Amino acid sequence: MDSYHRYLKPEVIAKLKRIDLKARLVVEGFLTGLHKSPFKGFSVEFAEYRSYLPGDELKRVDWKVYAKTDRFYIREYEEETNLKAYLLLDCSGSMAYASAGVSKLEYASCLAAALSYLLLKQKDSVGLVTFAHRLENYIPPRSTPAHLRVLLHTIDRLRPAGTTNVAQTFHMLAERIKRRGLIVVLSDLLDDREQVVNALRHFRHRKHEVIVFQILDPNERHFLFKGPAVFRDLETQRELILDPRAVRREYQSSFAQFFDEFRRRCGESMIDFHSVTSDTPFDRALLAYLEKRRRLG
Amino acid sequence: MIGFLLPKFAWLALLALSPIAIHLLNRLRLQRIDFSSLQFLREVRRERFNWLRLKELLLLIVRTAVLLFLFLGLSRPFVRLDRPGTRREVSTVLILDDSYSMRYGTTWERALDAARNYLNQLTATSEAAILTTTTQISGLSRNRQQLMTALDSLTAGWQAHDLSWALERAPQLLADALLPRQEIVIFTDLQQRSLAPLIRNRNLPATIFVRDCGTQDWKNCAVTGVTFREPLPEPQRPTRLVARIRNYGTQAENRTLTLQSSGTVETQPVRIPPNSETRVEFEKEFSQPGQHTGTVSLDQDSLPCDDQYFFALSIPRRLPVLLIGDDPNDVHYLARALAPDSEGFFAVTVRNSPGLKAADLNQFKVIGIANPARLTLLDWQRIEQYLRQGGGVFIALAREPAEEGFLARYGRISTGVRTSGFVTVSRVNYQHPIFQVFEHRADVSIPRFFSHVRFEPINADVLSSFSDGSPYLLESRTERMIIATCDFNPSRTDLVFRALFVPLLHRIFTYLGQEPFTRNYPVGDTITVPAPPVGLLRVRTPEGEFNIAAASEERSDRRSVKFRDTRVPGIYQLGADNFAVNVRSEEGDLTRFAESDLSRNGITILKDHAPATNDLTQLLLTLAALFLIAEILLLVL
Repeated sequence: MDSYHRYLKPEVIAKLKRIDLKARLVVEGFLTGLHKSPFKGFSVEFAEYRSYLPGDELKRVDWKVYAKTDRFYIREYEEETNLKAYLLLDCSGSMAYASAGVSKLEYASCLAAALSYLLLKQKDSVGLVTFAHRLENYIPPRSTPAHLRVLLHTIDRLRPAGTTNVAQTFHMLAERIKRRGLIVVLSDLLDDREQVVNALRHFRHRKHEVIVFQILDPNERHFLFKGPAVFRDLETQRELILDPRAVRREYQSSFAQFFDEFRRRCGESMIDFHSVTSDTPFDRALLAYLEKRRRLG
Repeated sequence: MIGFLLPKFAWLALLALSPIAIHLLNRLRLQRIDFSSLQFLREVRRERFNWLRLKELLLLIVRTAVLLFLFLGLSRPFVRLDRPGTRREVSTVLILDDSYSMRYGTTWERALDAARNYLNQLTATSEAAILTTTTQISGLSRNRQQLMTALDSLTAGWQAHDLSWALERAPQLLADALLPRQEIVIFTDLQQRSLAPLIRNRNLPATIFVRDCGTQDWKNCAVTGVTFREPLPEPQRPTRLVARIRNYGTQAENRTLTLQSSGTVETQPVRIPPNSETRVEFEKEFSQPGQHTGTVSLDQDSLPCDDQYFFALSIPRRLPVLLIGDDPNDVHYLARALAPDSEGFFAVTVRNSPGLKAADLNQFKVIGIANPARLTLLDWQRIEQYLRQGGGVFIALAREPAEEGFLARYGRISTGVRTSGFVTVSRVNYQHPIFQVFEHRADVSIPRFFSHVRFEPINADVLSSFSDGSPYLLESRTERMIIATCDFNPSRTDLVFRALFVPLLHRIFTYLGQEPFTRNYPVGDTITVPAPPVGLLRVRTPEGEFNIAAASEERSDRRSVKFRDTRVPGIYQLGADNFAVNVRSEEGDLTRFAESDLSRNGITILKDHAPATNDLTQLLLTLAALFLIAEILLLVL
């Protein structure tokens, strides 16, 4: 089965056809798309007049207004432009964890594939960045239909490995991506919280819209192991012998506290934080998110 | 030393290792889980991890302890206290008090059990000997099996021995002991009577322990003796049997006394005050002369062996009496009083002094000599021999005999016979069998005595005296002889005309006519009987029948049989004669020695009912429960 059909099953596609992903924040773009541009350029929809300033193009002067007022005014239009979306997919070792058959990476890959399809359907540009300890793959955003296969092919070849260094990758990308766009993070975010939040803020500083999909395994959230065991870190290979029943409560509390703080910090920075667990069908999770996003405008 | 009453459970205590084994197995079989990140696990506080590790260790210890103490507790462990013989080598003599007081309740069984337990506590190199109050059962031996077998063969005896012999023998045995540490352990009921020699002889060359196997709250009544009012019961004539019952306890007892004899049974209730003796009389008539036996018994208490008293007597058809007198007046009234007709109990033969020589004295049970003035030395020698053979002699004096040597051994005859006035009998020993029946029933002072011989007794007891103080009736202390200092000549006394005369003579002559030997023996005594002329003597005891050969007596050519095996109470028949063997009733007094007295004398008391061990069961089960609670608390924390 090729990567397209593996990640984009017909039923998924059918669901995605009925929905779109609009950037909440104004983004820059060249092509005509769904998203509002902050720039008032040539467009079909008049927005407003403003006084002529030296340097403005004469062709933008509304001569009829001049005729009436003897003053020079420029017409500004609401211009819809295309979005450049960057899918940041975590492929560190921790993303290999799977307690119910589907690893987080596989789950994230499905999400990434669905998002790619959705965005490309909207004639938005989609790029893919995979990272672990460092940036692994960078596929610049394109909006051609053929680009989907490139993305899916890359996603399909991903293998989780290495430690996580989210912050470093994000900071680098924030510097690299000049134009405003949509940053979609697909990661478990099991890294230093402060550094990750700062890195995400860096994107916001650069005027990007940031959506964070935290992908977790149910066991990571609830720690439902039974009986003493040797726990081995998938990234660091360090081991810890303990009885889960003895630490479950503390773990859950610590985990919840960590990510509640994460959510709050992201909220403060207007970062859209959304946590999903891999036992929820990804399409349902995505559609739920998009629907919610749509209702919230 | 620790022992277990249920050792199988002690083996189950190995299951206490199961938590450790499970813990180790779990460690080996620990699941390896690849987890995304240990970030949050590490965020669990370090002290929490330390506490978790500590808790795991504590749970392991607690669970092991619960199982260990539970199964050990169920195995009923005990610690043997530092008792004699435990955990060290010792040469010891076990003295088992087998006097019959040990038959009280289960005292004897407890003593045997205690002795067995004591032997079991000895180390393999210890040596022990076993004694009873009279017998060495085993010398010092290390053969445990042999000693146990010897114990198993022991039974409580019927005798009333104290510990004198055993306390004398024990040091002799220990003189050959191989080990330096020596002990004497006495298994007894702490009866004062038995242990008195121990107090007197406490300087024994060994450490003394007394194992109390007795009963604190005891009570006991015993039939202590049976006698007859008449010295010699007569056939077809009621006689009164007197049974003595003693209550050794501190509480009054209401009991039933039963007389069984000659096929008849008669019972009487009796109330016996505490620590006192009561007499009960039965009226009994023996219809036939001959040998008779019987028992007087109380309803049984916890010491039944002294509740029954056996008696045996021989009732003659007639009592042959020889009267000797030269003056018809001296013997006339005497003979008439004893035998008014030919059918009476007394078969009287009258002879004068010369006729005495031809008479076979052995045919007569009693010889009455009225006024022996004319008896010769030879006559007195024959009478002396007759007395030695057990015959009875009554001598009525009117004047001093011609031969004074014979009577001189009993007193001094002073001259001077009253010639004027008269005297009466003023003092009588009513406790004597002759006079018992007259107390409160007859006035013995009525008869008048006009003359009598003044006799100062030397080796005789005065049974009655005249009003002038001189003796009237005397009894020899060495032979069966009664001396009256006045004969029965009417010229000298009007006693012959008084109602007292006949019964008084009957009492005197039946008293003298008693058998010269007793038919009642205490357990353990030797019964001696004349040997049969030919053949063996057939003996029947309560344990069976057998024959015994006669043995010659020393210093005479008379053959006799000494039967020594009277260890069991009951009726013994030796040849044609019956004998009654009874326990010595004083052994029924179970008054115990005060423990303080024993302790003060350096004697250690080991109580039979006190545990020789410390039972650890309760302690261990309590510990198991506590550790279980601790486990629950740890799990909750």
